[in-house]
Amino acid sequence: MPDSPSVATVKISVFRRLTNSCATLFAIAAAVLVILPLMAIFLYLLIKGVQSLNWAFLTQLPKPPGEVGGGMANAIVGSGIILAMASLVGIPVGIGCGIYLAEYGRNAFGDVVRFTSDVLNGVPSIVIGIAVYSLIVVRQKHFSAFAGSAALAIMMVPTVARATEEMLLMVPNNIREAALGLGIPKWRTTLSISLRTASRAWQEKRPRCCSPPWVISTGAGVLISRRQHCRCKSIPTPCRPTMTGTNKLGPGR
Amino acid sequence: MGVGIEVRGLNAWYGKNQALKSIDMTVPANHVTAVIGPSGCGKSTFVRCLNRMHETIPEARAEGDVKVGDLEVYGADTDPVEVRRRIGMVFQKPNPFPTMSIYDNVAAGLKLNGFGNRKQISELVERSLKMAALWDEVKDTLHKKSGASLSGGQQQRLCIARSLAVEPEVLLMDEPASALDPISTSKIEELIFQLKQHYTVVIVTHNMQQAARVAELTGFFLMGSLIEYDKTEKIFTTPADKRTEDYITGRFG
Repeated sequence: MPDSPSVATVKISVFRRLTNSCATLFAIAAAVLVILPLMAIFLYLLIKGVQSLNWAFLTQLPKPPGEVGGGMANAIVGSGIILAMASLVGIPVGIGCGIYLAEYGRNAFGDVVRFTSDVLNGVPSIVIGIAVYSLIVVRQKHFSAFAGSAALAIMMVPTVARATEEMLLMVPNNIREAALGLGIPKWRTTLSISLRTASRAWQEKRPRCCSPPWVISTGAGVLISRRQHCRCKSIPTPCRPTMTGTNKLGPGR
Repeated sequence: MGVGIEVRGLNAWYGKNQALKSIDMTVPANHVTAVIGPSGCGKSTFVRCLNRMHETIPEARAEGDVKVGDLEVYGADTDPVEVRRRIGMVFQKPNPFPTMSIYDNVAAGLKLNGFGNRKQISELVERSLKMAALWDEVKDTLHKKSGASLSGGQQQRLCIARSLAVEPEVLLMDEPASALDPISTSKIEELIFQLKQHYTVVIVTHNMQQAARVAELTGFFLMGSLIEYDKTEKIFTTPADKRTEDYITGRFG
């Protein structure tokens, strides 16, 4: 059979090729249709906005509504401060948690931690924002970068923890065995061998779960640290975050 | 210098499964001792019990008297990390640390154990690589090339050098050549022959010719028991036990 292609198989292959081309064409058309509006918006933004993207935009404070000029310095600095403060707490706690889950957490307590962090991962940022609002903002009676950072840190911990765990689990066990077999203590093996191997593997091939912590949503953080416009009548200090709408970046997953 | 190993009544379990049944064995210093037997007979478990690597597997445990030189391996106040430092291990699959250079791979056991003297480390690295017959092949790329970039046979010799760098008294080899081609295998075998001047070597092997070539003593394991343990020549020519004879003549296993 294989060495005598019948007429029927040739006919089928022509039909198949036609269908294939049609499907490919359709897929390309659909892709263009989806990308076109996006590109249009992006290009429009670029054309209209690129002349405003200058040093002053990055370094100056916003002018009062109605006036031309000014910049976004306060927002940029504010976002930076929130992110820095949140990372300071969120990343070490998250990585520590991930190490525990991957290397020691094969027990009931580990399962609880894993489940909790999965649940926390699934909580919309706005809910965490409200929780922090009622816990910190209401008590302090004002918005603050601290409150924003707290919300952001709460969102960071489970994401970083699970990402770290996944990364560590990708490290083959024989690497760990090699280190233990050399008489290297387990904690040292984890920090200097497993984590190092994991981070290298992560740099080379980023799995989807491992979005870098710095793209994690600043949505709730921004929401919480946002100041009402009416309050901004006094001269805004550069470190006062008055950033924009909520959930701009969305969760980094 | 190598030291002898005394094993008395060693039992090992994986969960409820007993993998080793009261093993008694005396391994003389500065000899090569081979452990042979069919798959799943407990020979790997046996060597992993000698340096307490067995217990790193979840739910695995072992008990019995194992004395390596003057070290009580299962003594109540014996630190398993200390045991593993004094009893080196080479695994079946070459497992160099993938993120480290050749030099760092060999130096890892020293550096991560807090051994700080750079000059001494570099001397030990050179000495270990020479002993593992790898020095001439890698001396120009010690810091440039990663350990993972070497060929399989070179990687295995790198792993041997890495174990030797921490100056163990005993070297355990768990099928060190089973993943290698015949040329690399013969290099490793030659190396084992050299190593016994300085170390006591215990080698697990599937390959009976290999046992006959490198070992002075051979132990035959079957279903978790040590069936026969004698001079290699005796085991392969006039075994005392019928099961040993069946195995080495290829009637089963």
